[in-house]
Amino acid sequence: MNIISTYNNAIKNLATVWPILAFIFFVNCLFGYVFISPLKASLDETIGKSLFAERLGQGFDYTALTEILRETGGLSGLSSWLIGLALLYFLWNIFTSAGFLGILGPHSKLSIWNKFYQAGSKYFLSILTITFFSIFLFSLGLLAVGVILQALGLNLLQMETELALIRNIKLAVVFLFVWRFLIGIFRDHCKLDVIDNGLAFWSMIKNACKHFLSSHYILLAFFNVAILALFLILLFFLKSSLGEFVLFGTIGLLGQLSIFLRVVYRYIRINSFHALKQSKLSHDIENED
Amino acid sequence: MKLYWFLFFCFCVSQNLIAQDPVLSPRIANYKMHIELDADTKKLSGHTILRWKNTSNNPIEYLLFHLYYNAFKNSESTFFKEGSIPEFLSSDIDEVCGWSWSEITSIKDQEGNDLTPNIHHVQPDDQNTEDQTVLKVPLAYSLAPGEEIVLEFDWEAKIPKTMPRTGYNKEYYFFAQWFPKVGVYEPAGMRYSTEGQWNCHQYHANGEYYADFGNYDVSLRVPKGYTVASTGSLKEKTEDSNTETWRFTQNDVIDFTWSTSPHFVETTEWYKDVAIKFYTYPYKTDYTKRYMEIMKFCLQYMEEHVGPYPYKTISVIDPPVHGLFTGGMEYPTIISSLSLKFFPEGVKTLETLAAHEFIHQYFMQMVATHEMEEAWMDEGITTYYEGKILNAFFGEKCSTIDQFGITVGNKEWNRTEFFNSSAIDLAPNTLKSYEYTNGSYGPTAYNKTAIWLETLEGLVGAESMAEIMRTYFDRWKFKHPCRTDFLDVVDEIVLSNNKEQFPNGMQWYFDQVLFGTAVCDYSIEHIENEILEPKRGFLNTLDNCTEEEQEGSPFICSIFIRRLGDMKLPVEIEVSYEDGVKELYTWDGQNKSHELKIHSSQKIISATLDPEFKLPIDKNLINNSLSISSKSKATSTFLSEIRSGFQHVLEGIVSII
Ligand SMILES: [Zn+2]
Repeated sequence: MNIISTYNNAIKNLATVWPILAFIFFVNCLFGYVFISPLKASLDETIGKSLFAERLGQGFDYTALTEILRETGGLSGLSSWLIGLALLYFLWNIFTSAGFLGILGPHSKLSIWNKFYQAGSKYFLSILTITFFSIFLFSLGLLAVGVILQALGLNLLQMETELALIRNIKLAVVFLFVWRFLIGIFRDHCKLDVIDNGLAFWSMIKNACKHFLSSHYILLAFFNVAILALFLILLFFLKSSLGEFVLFGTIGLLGQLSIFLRVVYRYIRINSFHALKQSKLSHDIENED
Repeated sequence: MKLYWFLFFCFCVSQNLIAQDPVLSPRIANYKMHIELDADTKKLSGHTILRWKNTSNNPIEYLLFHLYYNAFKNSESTFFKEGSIPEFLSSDIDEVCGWSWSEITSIKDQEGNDLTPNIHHVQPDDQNTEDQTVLKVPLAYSLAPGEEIVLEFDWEAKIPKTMPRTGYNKEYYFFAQWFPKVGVYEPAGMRYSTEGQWNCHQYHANGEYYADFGNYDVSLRVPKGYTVASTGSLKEKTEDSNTETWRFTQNDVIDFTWSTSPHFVETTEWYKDVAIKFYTYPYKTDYTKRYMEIMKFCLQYMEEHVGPYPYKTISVIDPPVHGLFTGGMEYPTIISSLSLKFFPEGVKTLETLAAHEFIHQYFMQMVATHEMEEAWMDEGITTYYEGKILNAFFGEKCSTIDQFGITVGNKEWNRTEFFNSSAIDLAPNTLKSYEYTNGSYGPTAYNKTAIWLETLEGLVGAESMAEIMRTYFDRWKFKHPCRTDFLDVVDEIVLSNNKEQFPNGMQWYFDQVLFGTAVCDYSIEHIENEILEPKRGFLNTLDNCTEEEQEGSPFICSIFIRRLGDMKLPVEIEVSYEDGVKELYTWDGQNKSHELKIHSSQKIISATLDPEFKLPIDKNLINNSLSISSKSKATSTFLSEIRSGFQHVLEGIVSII
């Protein structure tokens, strides 16, 4: 089973599903605009035509930022606005993730929207359940880390040196990354199981447990993450190296491109998992034959 | 022959003078102490010979002593009543009995009079009879003006565990305000005294110290293997089977502080003839270079800008993590900084603390103002120089943080600290440290003072300001000045250098910033460019009415400025015209508003108040400028960055789905 070819298959589907991904990206942008609209209004009111605004365009400027935060009242007034939008976006993406389950593998361009919407409503509850379970698992990891760090000691006055604590925190961060990575694989197995068997919670967990430590899936997940990271880093460096010497808008465009990539990644990831599962199944059937 | 003997006599005297340190201070309170540290019982026992001089014109019947360690004797002391110490410091105070005490067990004068039976605690500041931080020692006879008394006493102290600024933790000991220390007798005419009086405050939760100058000769007996870092220079070290005795001496200082640990790693480097002694723990020796560089820079900067550092040593302690309760403090010729391995190199905490605490050598130690009654004269002036030194060392924009493209300068950090605090107009600088409420002590004493000193520099110019500070230091070192002494120097220099601009001196300024709580905020409200109507009527002839274009200056431009705060300062206004020309105008800033009217051939496109940022005390910099063009591209870029950041946050949240 070739990871690369599985991945390739997943990418090929982009030719069909890109309008959906573009739509999801568009909604993300919309949320971005909605979020900053009150900020924009208060910024226009406080900075308006002040020359001070120029300082905002000259890289990080502590005085400019703190002055604006103080005079606009900061983000404190926006916190409920931010939480509300994030919650809405969260629910919308439960729907899109459920929708992805209907457009995995090759499909005709004509039926794609239909299938996306149908799967979105059909699997909405399943995805919501899986997501809460993922959050629960991650919280368990966080709790474990917290308890262990606490047990090892957090009071600086009781330490000979802070080196042990620094090492422990680094280990905790690495552990949380790995834990989050494994949860991602587990979650994707659950999603694929839902397509085959509907939402049967315990059997879904059982099946996911059976497969999720398979080296192929881990390798594929790693490959997925690595490709995304590579692209994001590339964009970041491109963005920072361009500096001020580019046409207005280019920097913003690069920022948006990285958001779009993240949306694409979400689809490719579940799609490649699906392709791997399909090819594994056919391989198993061939072996049985 | 007579001449020969005379010359020989002169030679001997001059040799004698050369061999001795110059007398820098009045040397009123002189201590010879022998101290033993018992590391097992966490106790100190001391034998002190105090030679004290009555410099006043009146006889003195009693002496007052600070017993600072009694601040941590129990929960009923004024220190604890005024504000409990942070939970993380006191978490195991009861379990391990980390409380402390200090007691004079016997005291007699040079004539053998036993004064012990009459000593008792007094409370000069409050009625809290449980507070035992000040001890009254009635004398057997009244001490005449100009006379000296020698008191010899034995004392004991239980060392506190992890109390603010002092105590022990594990094998690390830091002894600050640790020995029975005589208060200051202020003769009539000194500072605010109209008659001779003791100035000996109880130990309060907020506020530091005040003491007289003197010579110290201190022998410290510690367990073998311990390294001692201390005020002064090491004179000798002797040892017996289990202990070592380190003898340090230092003349002309107001206090004596020391620290010891078996784990100290000591490094010495030199700036001219000053030994910089650095004490750290083995896991932090990689910071040595950073400390040495900033210390050498500080020594050079202060020498060039304020005055020479007259002592032979400056010791710097970087406490281990379990000793962080003692970090960031200043004592004569010894300071403690703080570094944590959590901080990346771009976070300049250790340089900031080292510089800040070193500057205190000038204002806490040499000028020696009353830190508790006039904290701004020490902490504020020190913070002002901290900004100058760090900006000169690292660069203005990155002297506090320079990491991952994020840069913060010391002065802007300081200014933001103040304006973001709730203390902007809570208190003048004239309160005693323990009278500040609602957390206004720090922002007012440290940050606000530094800001109004920078603003003073903006008003009178850098040269006058430098002269003010040099004169103030030179005139008042070793003399305990008070604020009027500082203000007198300011007026003297300003009236000599800036008389045209400030003919009445600067009292008007200090009334607002030091004695008052005025807030400064000037704002440009709007700009208008009106085209002058053509001239009409009988212009060149009496026969016909004519119309003629205006010559030269067809525009009447007006800039409307408001004073939103109650502070009144002269301000500069820079006006920019369409063709790029800029002009500078001034306004005395007295009225609530002002309209600047200019006849011009060009339109004004923008105006900026205080274009050179001479007035950092202006609290809102946004309304200091105005442009007639629509909003800038920079705001859009900024908003698009925030939007993009938020979009990433959203994607981050849903990545778990
Ligand atoms: Zn200080």
